[in-house]
Amino acid sequence: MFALLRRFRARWKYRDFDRDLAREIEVHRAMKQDELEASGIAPADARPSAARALGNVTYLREEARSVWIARGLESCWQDLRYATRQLRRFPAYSAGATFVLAIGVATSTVVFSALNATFLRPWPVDEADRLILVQTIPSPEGEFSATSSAEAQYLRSHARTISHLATYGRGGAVFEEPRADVQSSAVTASYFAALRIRVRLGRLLNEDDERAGAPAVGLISHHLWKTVFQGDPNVVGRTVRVSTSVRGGEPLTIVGVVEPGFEDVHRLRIDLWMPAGSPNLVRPANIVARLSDGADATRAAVELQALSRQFRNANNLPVPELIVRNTRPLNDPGNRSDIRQLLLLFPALGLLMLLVCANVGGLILARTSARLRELAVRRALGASRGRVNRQVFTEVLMLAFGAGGLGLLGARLLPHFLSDRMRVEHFAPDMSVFAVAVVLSFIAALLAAASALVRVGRINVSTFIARQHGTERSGARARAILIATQLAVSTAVLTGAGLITRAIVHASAADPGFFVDEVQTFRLVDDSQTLRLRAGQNGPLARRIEMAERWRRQIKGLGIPRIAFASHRPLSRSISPVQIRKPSDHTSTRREVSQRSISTSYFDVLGIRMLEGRSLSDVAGSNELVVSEKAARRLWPSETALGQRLVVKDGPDERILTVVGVVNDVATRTLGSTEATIYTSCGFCDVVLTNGVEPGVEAQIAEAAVRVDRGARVAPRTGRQNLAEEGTSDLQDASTAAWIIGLSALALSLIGAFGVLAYTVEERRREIGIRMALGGCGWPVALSVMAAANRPALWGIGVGVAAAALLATFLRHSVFGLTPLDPIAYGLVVLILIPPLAAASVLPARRATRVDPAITLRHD
Amino acid sequence: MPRAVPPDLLPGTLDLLILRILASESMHGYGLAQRLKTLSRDVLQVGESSLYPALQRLLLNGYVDAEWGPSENNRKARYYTLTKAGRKHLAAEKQEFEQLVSAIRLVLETA
Repeated sequence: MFALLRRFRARWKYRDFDRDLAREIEVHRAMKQDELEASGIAPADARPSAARALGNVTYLREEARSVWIARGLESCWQDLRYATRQLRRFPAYSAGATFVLAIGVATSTVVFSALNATFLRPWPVDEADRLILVQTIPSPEGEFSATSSAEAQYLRSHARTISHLATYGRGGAVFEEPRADVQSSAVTASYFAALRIRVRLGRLLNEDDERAGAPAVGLISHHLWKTVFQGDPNVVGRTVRVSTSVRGGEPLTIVGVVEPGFEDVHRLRIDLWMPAGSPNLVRPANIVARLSDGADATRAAVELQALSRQFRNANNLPVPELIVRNTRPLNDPGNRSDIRQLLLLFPALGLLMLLVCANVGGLILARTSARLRELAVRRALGASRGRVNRQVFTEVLMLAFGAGGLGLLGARLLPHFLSDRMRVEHFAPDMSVFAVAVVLSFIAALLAAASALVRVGRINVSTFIARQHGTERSGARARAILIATQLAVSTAVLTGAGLITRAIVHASAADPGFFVDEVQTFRLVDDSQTLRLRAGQNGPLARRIEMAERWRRQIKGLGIPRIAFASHRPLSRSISPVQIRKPSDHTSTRREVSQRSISTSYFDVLGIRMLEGRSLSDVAGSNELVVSEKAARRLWPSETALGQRLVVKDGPDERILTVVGVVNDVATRTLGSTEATIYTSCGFCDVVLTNGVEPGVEAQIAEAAVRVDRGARVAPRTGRQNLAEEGTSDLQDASTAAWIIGLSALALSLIGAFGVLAYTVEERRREIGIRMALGGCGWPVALSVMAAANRPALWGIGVGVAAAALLATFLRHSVFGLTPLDPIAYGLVVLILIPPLAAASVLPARRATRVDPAITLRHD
Repeated sequence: MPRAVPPDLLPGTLDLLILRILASESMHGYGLAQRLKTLSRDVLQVGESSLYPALQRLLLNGYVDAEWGPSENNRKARYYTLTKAGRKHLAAEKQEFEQLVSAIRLVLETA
């Protein structure tokens, strides 16, 4: 109000307040001098007396000044200017510290940005929480049959808890001109209504496009329009040739461009939407549906299950179980394991930040120790502890915010390097990412500055000024802890990397129990498997079984030697457990073992040893069984397995089978995991195995497939490919990551250690000078300095190794081949660590001993 | 006996005194100190470290205006003048002060 206006006016009118006050005080002093002279004091005395009477003018001016300018604000501004000046004076240190902090803050920001884009941000679809996903899983009896378009239509027309229901099926496609690899989705017309998608140009797909014989049309994404078609305003109506995995180079007319900002289900990038095709074609379909007003997911689940049962019973299809999931990844229980894996990121990031802060903390501590004298003088001049601390902290804060800026930049640039499953535009940091970057920077600054602040706070002004030089062993312990921490983290990660690598070596050298290099496998792939599926069957089971049967007959007719059939490849993740019981047990003690179907020559082709008995005979539908050693020991521990009978659940029925042979245990899913396995004769075997690679065999087998069904193909794998892909890929990813992180951590630690150790040596330069002057020679002196400096480093390494060993012991059971006390791994790590560490400490020490002692001592 | 205006006396009191003095006549800082000393019969002697900050405060709040002008001895000194807002403030503060003093006196005499 008026008071405020008055103040503004005064503030403006008297903006020269400082100068005016100075003159005014001078005048005051002059007048006082006059008075003193008038009372008889000599002019020479009057002047200093007047000045004395005035008192502390500086203090007066400061007090007056604080009326005009808020003290707090001004001091903050001063801090900033001071910090900038300091940072500019030592550009190497500033750049180095910012860079290291940036690594920590940037990594965390980028990870958070990725999480934000995929999990945390709400899905930008109208009322996304009213959308549900419907999944079919095998019934308790083990039957499975995916939803056909006909069924989807049935559900849509009869369900009342759903207002829209649509199916979508994903796959890849290739535009031929302009050339582009796109992700496509075949959807029903209701998809657009369900998700409330709008177009920027052109129109959406409708039911007419789904009719058999309708011209092939498609809808493209905004991103695709901008990049591949360069935002061509005439793209609607343009025809391109498209190849999918089902058919090659067919023309497709673009009818519209989707609005920007739309993200498909699960946030996956989709560039092209096509009509789902005739409803009678059985294709696996995922269902997305919008709940009608007042309905909730539970009621919808019940209704859909009932309707699905009706439809399938009417069409003689097995009735699966329907699961309704919501579209929010965080709340979806199906995503729990993914989320658990993500949560592992947090301790990893925490470690990284710890390392980074320890590293920068060491740098800052060293810098601050060099300035302790100056800070003590400031304290002597009247600055409070808090004020001096704030100065140091401001400097660190500026570094940290610089790092935060780099982090945001990284988060912005990240999408260009990420795999193209993610949407580029949605990585643009929004407010939450920005806030996270700021908070992280602040915390990093605090942590990094902590030890320096403690040191500064402990300055004892009197003793400091009294001494001529600061040969304080100041902050030695803090520095030691910092170095030890960094080295502990680096060592732990490197040791982990070493152990994992050894595990991989073990796993690769492990004997899987069967021939690897000589065996080639071929899997029959039919038309409806072109979209990615597990080995579970889709489509009518009977048809596939019949196809596989005919294919086998064709191949047998080819007369290829050393050939066998099976239901799964030798190492297969998709082996499912089957329930068995002994005839004497009734219901309660059901066990589970892995089951494969095979032909007679399977063991022979794969080189699996027959321990007892014989292989299965080649009679279709025989009741014979071969068990693996583990299974035999588990089921009949004290007697021979031959001749024993076992009840095996086969769909809804049970079959009674008799054991005719026992074989060696072999690796089942991944290398090193042997499971109890039973082998039955081929019901549904669509994998062919050959021993000995002969040219032309593949072509013959492929040809046989085509003769069975025009759309059928074979997917071949050679020996090592079988193992390499299924066996160790996870471990290899982990190992690569661990090595990269470990080596980077080590590099950081070494740089930090070098800087700090160099400073330590600098501090002890006087002592070194004295020793040299007293007749010591270079090397022993350097070594003694080095030894003392390296003690914390060795502690750190020790702690790191112990931590890694401890962790490995816990993980031993989840990772095959991990031996916690593998001497080679530890030896390797020690070899990597010691030389650089030694160099880091020797060099500065050596340099110090080279300097003429006279010069060193003179520097006092 | 002479007594410097103690700092724990409400800062408002010093401001009040200054405003009152300036109500009769504009003067510079040195003159103000002298006048205060004289008027209070040497009891109140304000130090420069209290006087000038007080004057700055009054200036910031717009209760006084300052201008450079010639003084006796032909020096250039800064003269402070009471403004309209200052006059109003003076009246209000005076009233409050008198209330306060009466209350204290009341307690001292009748307790």
